Amino acid sequence: MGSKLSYANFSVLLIACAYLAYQFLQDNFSFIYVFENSSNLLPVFYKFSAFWSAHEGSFLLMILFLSGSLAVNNLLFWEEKWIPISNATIAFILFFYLLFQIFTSNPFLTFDILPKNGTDLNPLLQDPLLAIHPPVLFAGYVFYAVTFSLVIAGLFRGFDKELFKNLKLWAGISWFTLTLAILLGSIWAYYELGWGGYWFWDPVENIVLLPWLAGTAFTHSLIYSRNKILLSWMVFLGISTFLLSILGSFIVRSGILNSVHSFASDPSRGIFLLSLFALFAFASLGLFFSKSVLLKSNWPELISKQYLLVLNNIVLVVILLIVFLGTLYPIVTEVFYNQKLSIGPDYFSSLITPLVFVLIALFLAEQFLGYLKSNQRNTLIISIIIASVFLFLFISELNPVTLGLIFVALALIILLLRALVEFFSTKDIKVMHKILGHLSVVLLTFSVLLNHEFSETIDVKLKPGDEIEFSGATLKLESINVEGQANFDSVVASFSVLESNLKKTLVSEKRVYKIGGVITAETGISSSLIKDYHVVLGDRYQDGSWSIRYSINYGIMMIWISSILLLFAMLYGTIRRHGY
Amino acid sequence: MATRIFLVLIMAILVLMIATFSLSLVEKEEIALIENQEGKSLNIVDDLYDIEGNQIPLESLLEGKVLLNVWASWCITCLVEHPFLKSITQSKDVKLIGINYKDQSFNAEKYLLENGDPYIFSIYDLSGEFSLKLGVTGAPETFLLIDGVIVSHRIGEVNMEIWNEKFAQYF
Amino acid sequence: MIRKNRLNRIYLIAFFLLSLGAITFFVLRALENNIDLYLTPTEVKAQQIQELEDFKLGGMVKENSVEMLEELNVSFVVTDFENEISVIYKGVLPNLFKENSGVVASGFLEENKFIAYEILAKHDENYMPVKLEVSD
Repeated sequence: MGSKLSYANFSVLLIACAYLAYQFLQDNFSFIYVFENSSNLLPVFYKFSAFWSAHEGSFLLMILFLSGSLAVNNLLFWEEKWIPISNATIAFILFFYLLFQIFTSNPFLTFDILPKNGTDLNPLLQDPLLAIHPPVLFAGYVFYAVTFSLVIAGLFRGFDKELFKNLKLWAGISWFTLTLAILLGSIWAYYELGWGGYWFWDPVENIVLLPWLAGTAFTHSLIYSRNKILLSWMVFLGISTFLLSILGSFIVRSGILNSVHSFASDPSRGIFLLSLFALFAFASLGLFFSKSVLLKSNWPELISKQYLLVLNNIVLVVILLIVFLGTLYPIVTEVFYNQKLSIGPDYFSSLITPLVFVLIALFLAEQFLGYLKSNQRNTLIISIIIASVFLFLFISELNPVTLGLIFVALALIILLLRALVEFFSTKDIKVMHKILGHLSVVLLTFSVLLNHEFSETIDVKLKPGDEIEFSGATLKLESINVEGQANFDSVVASFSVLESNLKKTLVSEKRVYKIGGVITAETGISSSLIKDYHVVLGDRYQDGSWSIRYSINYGIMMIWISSILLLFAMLYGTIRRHGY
Repeated sequence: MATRIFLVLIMAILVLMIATFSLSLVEKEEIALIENQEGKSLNIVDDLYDIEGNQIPLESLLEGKVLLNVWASWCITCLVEHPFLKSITQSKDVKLIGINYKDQSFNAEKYLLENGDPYIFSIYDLSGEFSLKLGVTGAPETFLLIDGVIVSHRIGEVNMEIWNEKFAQYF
Repeated sequence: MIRKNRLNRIYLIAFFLLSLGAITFFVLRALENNIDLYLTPTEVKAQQIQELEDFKLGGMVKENSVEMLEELNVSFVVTDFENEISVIYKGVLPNLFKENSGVVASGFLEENKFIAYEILAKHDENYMPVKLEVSD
């Protein structure tokens, strides 16, 4: 019966969504939401993606996903003893989300009249990557609601082997989805926004990072808590991850933070989401503490895999707290001192980078755990030697970033060699996803440091035919043309970069959209594994020259590649034990 | 014991957090307080132009009963009240003058072309400066002026009900 | 066995407290070094901001105020519809920068002008001007 109801719930929501999507495809501008986010000049693909381009539609999609995961859960795990509690929890969440949708963000409101055309989809969102970024992000949030419901079920019915298996599955899926969403957002920021970077430590970005960090700690905590070690800690992380995802949507939608990414904000939505956060926070944490006696837990042994995992969790939670404080501190000062602040990116990078090194050191230690265990005295001596070498290097005049690069490169080589030795001696790699995941995190750290240290930018003024020499390569503005498209006109600038007889062409574009006269630009990028040439077309001057921002960014491709490897590792680690 | 300390700590942090967030929401709303401008008189210092760029004679605003309607092509509620404004100019003897608020002129012209133009003319107020002096906080808003004095001010959409309540008595 | 377990727990708690202390110290220090005031033109006028002190200026780019000067210098006016400040920036303006839209500039005041070294244009979910919806 319950499972049938969950299918019915999903079908009804699916019909509602299909109905709204149909209005978009039919250009029915008598729907206010369609009017605001579409136009009849829009290509069909974007008419469809316009569905989730603003708050109302994206929230509806999120509810659809939540209902979908409820249905899937019932389909696959109907026999499990945790399903009633999990269903009740999800239904509870679903109920409040639907209330929120109906009373504060109803996408089905209509005009009495039929406008001839809509106000068009935000041109920034007319990009294939951004068309899929919001649904993926919401899916990530929603899947963490499912892990939350499983954790709550565990509080009532006890954590058995079956529950752990399913928890691992859902935690893996959510972790994968949220990581993918963050990666898509980064790629979009780099290619579409044209700010020359992929991460800005902007509040809206940090807000997404919070559940991701908690989720990362949570996924790792599942490994040791299966042996009844620090079980309550795992439960606490599971609850926090979900709460942080609601907090994220509250902060983004209420507009209480100064961000360069702004969203339509509405005080009534803010109040509703805050109340929702308060309700879930008090209910779930109250439950957690009232049941904490049941979660009898042991502490792990010193120098064991579990112990390292606990350390990893502590470091991750510390990073989480740093991001949390840095992001929310401006709210505190605004409320109590009426002082608007913004926290610079150096706050985050200077604090988090050393902690990432600690994490990498933990991976390395884990690799040599057997050795460390058998020779406890040697371990102490080795770690003291390593620590003093680093302290010495740190005190010496060596650039700390270079030091970091050397350390990360060493870690990369050691991990790779370990994996290769294991592969050739046993023809198999145990827990492949772990090795691959950790390798890609180390590679990612390496690329980020590389990018941070070596990238260069210059602003110049060029006429067609002009050349400029910068950082060992010659940039030439070949030509500038004007082209017309269906819903925009564009100025297209072709450049060529000449470096050691290798010639590359770049095309940068500036678009003027016909509805609203909005101007956006397409960055010209030519990538190789090590470095990117990145050109942004600026403004035209009286004498026919154009201002141009020309950057050489290192390691961008490596950042994407390592993130994709990480995603593979997450996916493989999640599904390898499951037949489905 | 440890659990209890943890409980108190976490709950205290939560309460503090939620209290702070609520305060930040409250302060947001105070800024959005909107003032009614009734009883003030119109005081124009700058030259005014219509959407095509023709200068507007000031007398047209200061003499007799003038209905001033703030609109923009990007404003959805304006589109909703548009048919009502058209019907009112046809049925009543009213001088309806528009204020085109923070809008691109080509968008404004297209809007009037597509939806009809009930205005005698529209004051082109791209910067929003003229509207700011008038006390406009957004679009749509409607003022009734009698000999340059604001006798009635509606913030938001005008429909038959609002008309009867706020404006009909003067006609 | 119990004893060993307890010893482990003490180690962990000591480690935890120690790192908590260290983290608090570093966080406070980093916060102190990286706080930028975020001010609107009205707030800049109201508070006596020292020349050459870094802060972030937020507001709208005033209509018809963007001027291209010599050598990639650009000047424009940031307004919050009450007060305004003229800004000078050397470099290429970001893609999304345009008149009548939000901007966040980092820089400092010099002779009553704001010298910016970084300009970020706000990107918006809805790119239409803000409308106040009133429902009374």
